Amino acid sequence: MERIQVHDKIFRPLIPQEKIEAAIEALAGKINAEYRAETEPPLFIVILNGAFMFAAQLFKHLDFPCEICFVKLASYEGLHSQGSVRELIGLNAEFEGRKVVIVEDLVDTGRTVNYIRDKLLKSGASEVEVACLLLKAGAERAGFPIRFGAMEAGDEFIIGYGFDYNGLGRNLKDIYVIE
Amino acid sequence: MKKALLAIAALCMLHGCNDSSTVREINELNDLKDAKIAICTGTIFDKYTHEFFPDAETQYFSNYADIPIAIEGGLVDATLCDEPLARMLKKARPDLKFLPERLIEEQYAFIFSPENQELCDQFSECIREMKADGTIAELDEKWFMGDESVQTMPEPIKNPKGIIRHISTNTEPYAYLRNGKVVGFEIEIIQRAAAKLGYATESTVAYFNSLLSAVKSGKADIASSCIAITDERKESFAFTEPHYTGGVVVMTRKNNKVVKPGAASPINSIKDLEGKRAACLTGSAFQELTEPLVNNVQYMLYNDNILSLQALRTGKVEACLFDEPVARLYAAKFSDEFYLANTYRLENQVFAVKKGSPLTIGIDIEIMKLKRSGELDEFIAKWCGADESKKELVEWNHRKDFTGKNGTLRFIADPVLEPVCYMGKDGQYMGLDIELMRRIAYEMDMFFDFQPVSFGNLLECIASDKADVAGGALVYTDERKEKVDMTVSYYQGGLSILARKDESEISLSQLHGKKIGVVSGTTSDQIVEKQFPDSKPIFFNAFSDIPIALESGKIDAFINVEHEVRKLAKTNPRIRVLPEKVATYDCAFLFSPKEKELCEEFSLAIRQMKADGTMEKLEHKWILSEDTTQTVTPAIEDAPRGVLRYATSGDIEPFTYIRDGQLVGYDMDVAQNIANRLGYALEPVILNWSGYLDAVVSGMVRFGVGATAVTEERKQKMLFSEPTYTASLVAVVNASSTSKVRESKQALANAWKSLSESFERTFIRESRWKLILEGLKVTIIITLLSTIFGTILAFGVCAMRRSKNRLLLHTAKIYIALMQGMPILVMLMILYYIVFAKANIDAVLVAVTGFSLNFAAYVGEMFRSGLNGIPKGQMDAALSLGFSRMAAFRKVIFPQIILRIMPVYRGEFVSMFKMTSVVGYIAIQDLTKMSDIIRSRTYEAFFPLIATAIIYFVTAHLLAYSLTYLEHRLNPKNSKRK
Repeated sequence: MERIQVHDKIFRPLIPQEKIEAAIEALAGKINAEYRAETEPPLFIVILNGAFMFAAQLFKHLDFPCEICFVKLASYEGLHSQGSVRELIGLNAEFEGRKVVIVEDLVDTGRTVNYIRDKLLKSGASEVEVACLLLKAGAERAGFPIRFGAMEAGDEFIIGYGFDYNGLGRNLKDIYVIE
Repeated sequence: MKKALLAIAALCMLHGCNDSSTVREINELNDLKDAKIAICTGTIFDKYTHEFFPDAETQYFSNYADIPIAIEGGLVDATLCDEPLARMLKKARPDLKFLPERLIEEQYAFIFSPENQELCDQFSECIREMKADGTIAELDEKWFMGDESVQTMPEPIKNPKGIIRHISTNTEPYAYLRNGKVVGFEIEIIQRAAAKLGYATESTVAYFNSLLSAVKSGKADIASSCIAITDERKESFAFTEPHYTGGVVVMTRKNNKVVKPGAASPINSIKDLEGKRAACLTGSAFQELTEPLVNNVQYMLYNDNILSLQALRTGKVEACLFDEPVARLYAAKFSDEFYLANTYRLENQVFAVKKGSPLTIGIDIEIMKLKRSGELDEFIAKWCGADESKKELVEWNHRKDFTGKNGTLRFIADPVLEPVCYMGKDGQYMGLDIELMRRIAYEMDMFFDFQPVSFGNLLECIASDKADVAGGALVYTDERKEKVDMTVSYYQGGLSILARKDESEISLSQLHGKKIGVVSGTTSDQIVEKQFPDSKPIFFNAFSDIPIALESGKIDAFINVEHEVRKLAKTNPRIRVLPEKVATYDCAFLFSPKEKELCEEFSLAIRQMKADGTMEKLEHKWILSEDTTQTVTPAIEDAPRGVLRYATSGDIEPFTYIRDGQLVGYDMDVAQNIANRLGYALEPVILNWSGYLDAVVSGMVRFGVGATAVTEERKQKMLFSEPTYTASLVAVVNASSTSKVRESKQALANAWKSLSESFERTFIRESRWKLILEGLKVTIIITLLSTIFGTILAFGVCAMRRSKNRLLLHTAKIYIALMQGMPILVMLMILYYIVFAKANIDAVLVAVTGFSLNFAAYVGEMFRSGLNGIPKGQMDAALSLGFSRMAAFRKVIFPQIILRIMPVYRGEFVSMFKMTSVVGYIAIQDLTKMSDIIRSRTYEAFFPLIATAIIYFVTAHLLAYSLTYLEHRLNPKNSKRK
């Protein structure tokens, strides 16, 4: 694999696609074991944009029927913003009394997933778990255990496989790190 | 229909609306899940709404015509209605739309009696043909979208072989009376089909419930009127091929646009500024950037955002142009007064770093990481939000390996832009940019240092390496990119319009945290608790005390049933009923559970009375009319089914009350009407409230009535009939907060209260007096230093001016002319921004230099005139007495000069002290600037300005007095002779 340039910065390969996908497959196995036997399968909530590639790969390996919903977390909506409320946009599935799995690209400080988790639990979800592609060392700050992490992540800035640098690079099939 | 529309337009005047920016957008059925849905009482849509959207908030309207206005005005988000009606409404009211998805799909067809199956089949065949050849589609277009000129009916056929009798309701555009003829979409289909079969038609209109029986009894051959095909109906009727697919749809606003009825053309986009006045910050590019976009705007320039805001508040301008985060902050902080109308220019906010600096890449990465972790969003929410208590800089400690080994990140910005970068609590610099950059420094293992620099010098400082990073709502431009490196954007801002909410938009949300008056023991008490948990209910025993309490300012609002409030509002112009209803509840007859049969009989009668308009008449008679001579409908004689004893409280006007010894009221009349229909005589038992309920439950009476609200709790013990009345609770506030009718005493008390609040805000809160003291210190330092240096310099100027050397003389003359002819502010700015631009000297020193130079010119001239006034002979005399030249000046001449010039000198000194108030222009935080800073936090102009004026006044006089004292001491007449 070669170095690439995104905007004005150079990135070198860090994790090749095969390795990422193997990790995701392993994670899918864990999720299958957990939920396969459930009478009502959990609702998967994918947090856009970053998690799209991870989610696509993950769901290919889940062997029970999945209900999937894609949402975006925005700190304000459009131009007519008032106040500063962080909202989940696009959450239109019924999740009251259900188990929910948040599908996130990266859990860093865990604050975002914690925020979403709180919101879902308050709105009636019976249980909320998080599945993420990369789990950072500081993620224990989330205040609850993250049970489904595919890989560990360091502190370096990465792009590719859903991660961007200033809008570009999400489509790269491998994960790169800044030089 | 036109009349109906006129009525709708008239109703516009009665409705206000919610705050425009929190109105939600409905684009699919799912959006309705928790929306506010309007329901017309008594329609099938009530059931559908609860069935399909059990979590939605519902609001009941008694008249369907009110609902479209409520939707447009933002009071509710949507309503369910028949698809054809939705189409008509959409045509008449372009701000409405309906969702293409149908909640329920229904096929409309014509019905025949089963005996007429053959004719029915022939009709079906014709309809199929008309569908196939596009006739139906054509007619649809003609009757739904066209106007009267195209809506002509085909000529009747000649020599028909028979007449088909048709019956329909009067429903535009299906079948309706126009100029005495029945016309419409369905009429034309029927007429065309009949013509094909060789028949003429004869159409009549009737009520819906008589259509079916007319067909069944053979009085009509065919019936139409959006008759949906149902299995139940199929059993008794023959249906033709359906000619229309209708159903139930969701009606909502178009483009989420809220029309504000009664408001003077609201501002929602940049184009709406045309012909209006807009406040701009002096020196900003707002006017320049806005001018190409909209014509005929009067730009009013203000020196700071707070003055602009004040101008907007007092109506001097209609809108303010602000940086997006600023507008967003104000809209959040003062959501009662202002709204963010539009952001019309999007811009990326970035940081500037020296060209080629390695910091850029690090900052880029950290910004991206903070974006990724969601923390950046949190920072933005925190600083742009209304919650002041959260706005503190956080100390981070999650990095165990922090050493600061990478040095110090020197960050600069102009701290005048709340919430991006400003001086907040305790004079601390804070804001989104400061917090973000502090965090970035921390992540990069660097210490953080902030220096305030005026906006115009930021890039200069970065280029000359006086600082590492510049921020403060810096916007990416290609021109700037040539001078410095720009980081990735951390915030998408832009230019926004902040506008004032119309007064008619006072919404219920403003009652939160206010004192609300309620009558103790009524349902309004519970409702206040439920709907306004953070407000303070004030209990009154009688409703009559409440309006007075409102007027005298003891309470901010009160809540009561609408009909009482409306009556009050007619006679009391000082109160104002808020258009939004606080709550609605149903009233009904009350029965013991054993009286199930009677209850059902009553319910049926009520339903019938609703259908035939009796209830409406009674409502007009007793509740809406101002007449006070109404009487209850007389009882029938010799009621066949005997006497019904019932309980009522007799003390709730207009429902049950005693007038001229007679028990009258709406409920009494309804009861009498029902009894007459059912063949009963009535015998009332008047009981007080608690006794009344017991009497019903115990079976002492057959039923109870009297404005009794249907509640879940009561339903467990008792039976309720079909509701007889839907009561609404509304909120009432003072018509104007500065109501002139208030007693002057109260006004004085309020003024004193607000003054002491202002004092607290200006001086006490966040220890702001410290800022004032600091500012005063700076002002005094500048004044005293300038006086000392200026006076010393003045001796030189004076000497030069008296010099025989022509060069020195002329230099002094030019200098004095320059100083006297140039405004001190202009000179200060030249010194600061041009002469000392590159030198890294303190602005206070620049100010001292400027004022000293200015002071010297004036005082030098004073000295000269003082000196000239001393006769030359005095010097000669002193010299002849053996004084040295120096001693002669010091002991003889100088004291006289001082005495002569002192009054003028004192005046000049005081005038300089006051002139120092302009130093804020060169980034010095003196007394005036500090009061500006305080104003920028308290958002009020009056108190800080008056307080500053007083401080200047007192200080100036103290300083002048100390000079007078000096003068006194210097006067030889006052010194003790040795």
